[in-house]
Amino acid sequence: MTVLERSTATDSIADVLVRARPALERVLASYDVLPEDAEDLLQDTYLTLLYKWEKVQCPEAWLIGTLRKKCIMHWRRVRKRMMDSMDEVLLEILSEPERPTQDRQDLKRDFERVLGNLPDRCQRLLRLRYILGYGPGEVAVEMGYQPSSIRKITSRCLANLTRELVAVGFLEVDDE
Amino acid sequence: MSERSRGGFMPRTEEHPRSTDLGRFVRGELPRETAREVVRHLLAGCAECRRATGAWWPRELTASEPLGRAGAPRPEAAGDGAPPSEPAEMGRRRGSGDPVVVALAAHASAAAYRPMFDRVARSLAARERLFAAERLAARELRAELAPLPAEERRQRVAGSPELLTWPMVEALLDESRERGFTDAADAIDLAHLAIEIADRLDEERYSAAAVYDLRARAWSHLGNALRIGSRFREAQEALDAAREHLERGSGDVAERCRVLTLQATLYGDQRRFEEAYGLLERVVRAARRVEEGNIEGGALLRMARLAQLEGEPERAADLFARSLDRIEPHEEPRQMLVASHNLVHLLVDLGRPREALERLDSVRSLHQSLGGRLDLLRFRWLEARVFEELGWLGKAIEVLTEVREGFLEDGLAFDVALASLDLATIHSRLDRHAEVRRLAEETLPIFQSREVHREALATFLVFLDAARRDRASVSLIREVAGKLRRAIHPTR
Repeated sequence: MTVLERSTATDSIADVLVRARPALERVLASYDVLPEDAEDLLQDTYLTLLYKWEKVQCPEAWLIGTLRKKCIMHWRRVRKRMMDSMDEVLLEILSEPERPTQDRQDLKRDFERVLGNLPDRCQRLLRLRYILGYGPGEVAVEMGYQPSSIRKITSRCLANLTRELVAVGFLEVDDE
Repeated sequence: MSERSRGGFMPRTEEHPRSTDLGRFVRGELPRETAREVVRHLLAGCAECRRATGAWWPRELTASEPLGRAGAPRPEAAGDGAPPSEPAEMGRRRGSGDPVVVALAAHASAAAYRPMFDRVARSLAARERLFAAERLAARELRAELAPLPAEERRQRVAGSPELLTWPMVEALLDESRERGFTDAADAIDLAHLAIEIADRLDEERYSAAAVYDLRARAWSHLGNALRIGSRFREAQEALDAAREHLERGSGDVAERCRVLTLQATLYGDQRRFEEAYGLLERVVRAARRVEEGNIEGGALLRMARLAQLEGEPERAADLFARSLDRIEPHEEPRQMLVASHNLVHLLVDLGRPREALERLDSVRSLHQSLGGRLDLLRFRWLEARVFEELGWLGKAIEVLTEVREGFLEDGLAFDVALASLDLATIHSRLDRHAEVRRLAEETLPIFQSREVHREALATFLVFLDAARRDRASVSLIREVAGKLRRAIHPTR
């Protein structure tokens, strides 16, 4: 066999799926994906293999690797939802005028205590956003960031803050 | 349960959130009002609840950082009982009767996924038949479209809904890639057409994320075709578009790395080396994290090419060698060939012919596998250089003569001239001036019969004149060969 020939030249896609199935089940279980979410991930993985079939040299390894990546992406989306929720809730509760004064003071003190563990620039950015209620553009101007990059920087700071509050989902780093 | 018995910490809020609420909060599925209470509680610094959120995250992705970083006291530090063990926590989750928890418990064994696998496999079988038919049609249509002028191709596609398929996009991109170095304008037009079709693909039918990946690939192809045509600003715009599409794609690291690598290649062409290296290093890191050796190797290979362009042969050789360690030859034989051929070349240039010799067999076998008579001839030429550096002059002459004959058969005047000069160098080393003269006289008419530009011909005539007077020294011949190479490839 030359190096150009596929090792699986005689395999059909169905054969590969049957062989890979136990390993794929283990991947889903190891990533704690709910069956209803898993069906979408699996369907997407299978379809993508179908489309890339002629380019993929080792379909079994590809399937396992791709499903694993999709599981990670799935949890990234979950984490994003959680961070969005955190962002909205912080904006709400830290700027509520009707909250009793003592409660508001406690809340701000708690918030400041958590901020104290973050890098200085993150502290400043998050104070501007949540305590003073600045919009993203205003934060960028105040801190000297490019408007185009403020979204990313804010996300990073919010992720730092969330990491202080929630013990999940921050092991792997984004590609970019 | 009192607050003290829950870990010794006294949050300001009245109650700990329910475990299932923590779970829903982690998944971003908690109603706003309850989410407010959870956040308030976590802000108050409840270390136990913070830890409990970890039970809702897959262990594969959970950072094992120490608790209490938020300034909240650790339960054990507070001296009031250890946190519940993990089985206790899981038991608490599963005993709650919450549907999410029940589902989690149900799939504790992989068996929970079995019915779903059967359903997906059945639906895939139908898709496979459809896709096979589309692929077959795309092959035929590619052959039909390829020879048409650009405008006619466009009209044909516009009036044919049957062309709006995934395989058709791929077929056009393949055609675009093949034309890249011979007809840049056509390569660009084909990539544009592929984008038009990709934009009209049915996202339901193919899976939206996969379609966005394909669109990103089409835009990055266009960017590369524009780069080859030296239209750098437009190339950048196309690569920006590719990255935007990736944001909505499947998150496939391979797709992302492909775009970043092409971006780095564009930077390299613009001599923005630092930015190019920066991107390629990111690709290397990303690829390593997901154990994509071929992608990592491909990025290292491009870094090596940049080092070559910058005139850093030692660094380039090191990078080529590292890329060879990462690339899987059965999967990426062409990349393997490029890296190993270039490495041998550099090792000779660096005066390390023994190491070059050790690699010759593997390079030869790759060339033989991949066909390409001309590439094989160029490999034999390289082989002759290795032999010459090792002092095996007879063997070098034998191989170079064969190479020169090969180029003659193909009518490649410059290559004939350069191979002749290499051959003449060895004869000169052996004081065989008659051979040097013969080579020079034989090569002149080949040069003259082609449309060789004046500078190259003038350079060759310097050598001819010296050869006729038996004064063609090794250093003179090497100088002439160097000038001739630069006249042909000014950037090298």
